[in-house]
Amino acid sequence: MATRSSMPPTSSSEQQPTDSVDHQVIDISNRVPDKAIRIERDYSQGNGITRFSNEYPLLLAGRFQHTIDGINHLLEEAERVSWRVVFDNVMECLTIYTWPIFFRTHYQQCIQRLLTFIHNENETLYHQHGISISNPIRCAYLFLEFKMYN
Amino acid sequence: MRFVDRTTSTIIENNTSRHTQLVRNYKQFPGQNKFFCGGRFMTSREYWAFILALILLIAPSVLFGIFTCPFIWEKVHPAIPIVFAYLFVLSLTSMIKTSWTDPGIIPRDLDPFPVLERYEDPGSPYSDSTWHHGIPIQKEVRIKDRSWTLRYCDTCRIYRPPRASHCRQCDNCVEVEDHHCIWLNNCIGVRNYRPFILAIVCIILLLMVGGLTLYHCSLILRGITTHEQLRASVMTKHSDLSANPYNKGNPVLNMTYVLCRPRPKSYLRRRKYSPAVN
Repeated sequence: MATRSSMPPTSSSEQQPTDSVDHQVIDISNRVPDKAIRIERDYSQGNGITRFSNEYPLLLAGRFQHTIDGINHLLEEAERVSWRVVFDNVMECLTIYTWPIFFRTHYQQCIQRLLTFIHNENETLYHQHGISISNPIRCAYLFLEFKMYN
Repeated sequence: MRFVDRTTSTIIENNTSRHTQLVRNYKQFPGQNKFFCGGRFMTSREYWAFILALILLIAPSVLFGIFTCPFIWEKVHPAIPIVFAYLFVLSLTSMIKTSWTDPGIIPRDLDPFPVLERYEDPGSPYSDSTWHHGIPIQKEVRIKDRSWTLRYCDTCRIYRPPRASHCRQCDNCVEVEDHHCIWLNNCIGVRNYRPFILAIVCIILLLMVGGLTLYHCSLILRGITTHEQLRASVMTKHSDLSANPYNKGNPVLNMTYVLCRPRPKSYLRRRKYSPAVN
């Protein structure tokens, strides 16, 4: 049964420049940016944990440093192999992959906290200055992108 | 200015509203993957080897379950068929999970305009070319105390992270790619490595030879043959395995005798000559 979210919207055959279109307020993360700054990955730790570099000269000062440090800290907590993580994965294997259905894994919780952190930083600080941090999962953690709008 | 309103799936440009059809990403995926169940599962191109591997797992297990497990349940121990069933389900789901999940594919076009190496040397064949302005530079990163070069992947238009590899069969860059497995018809990458190892371990545990080996081990340790054991179970009143005259009393001695006794020569004289019988 097709629900509203699963059916793609149909295309209308003609373009209709209407005067009565509502001027919608579009969320800043959906706008096309003028400029973007990328913070590259820092592989120097060599332990496979995702980490973004602290060495971008322009942004070292101030809140950018704090944001990047916060993101790095949350990612390290998510990907570090602790006893809790080992327990989660062993239980998932022993219960024939049904464990994550009933119990949220440590990794899922940490990634949720990461996304909340980025959202909060955007809302409280960056959107006011016309900057938005994009979701790093979208770019496969290859870099961290600060989009700039004028 | 141009906006994309994802809630109503429209592109709004200069205050006009133009309805553009949006489709799910898996329908426009550029790699050589097949998707099903609405994009929830994905695998690679050639699935004949996977079907063969499934048959090789399922058919002997089902036969074993139908013909041998009732005997083992009654005569040996009921735990053995239960363990067998659990291992069978675990290996089957592991195989399917390895084959039908995303191994860690990196999406394309994340770095579509890399910095190009310019050729200033007038003798170089590229200096006058209008199309070929140079190849993308390679990025250097430090990993602990070593240096590593990130190469640019022209197909996926990204700088490949360390340990990532571009798979030719799937035509994708995969994070921490181990290899492409044709029997599971998928790359083995960071996201499906655990079910892959679990599948091959469980299949080894499950193999009929493994089960049979344990059964024969129990016979060996008691110093009896299969026929003697089967006849003993059929005629429980008349035969008593503990009075088996061939049992030396010590399981280690039994096993040593069975496995290490000298092998007599063949009685057949196959290569000797005899008069032809007409």
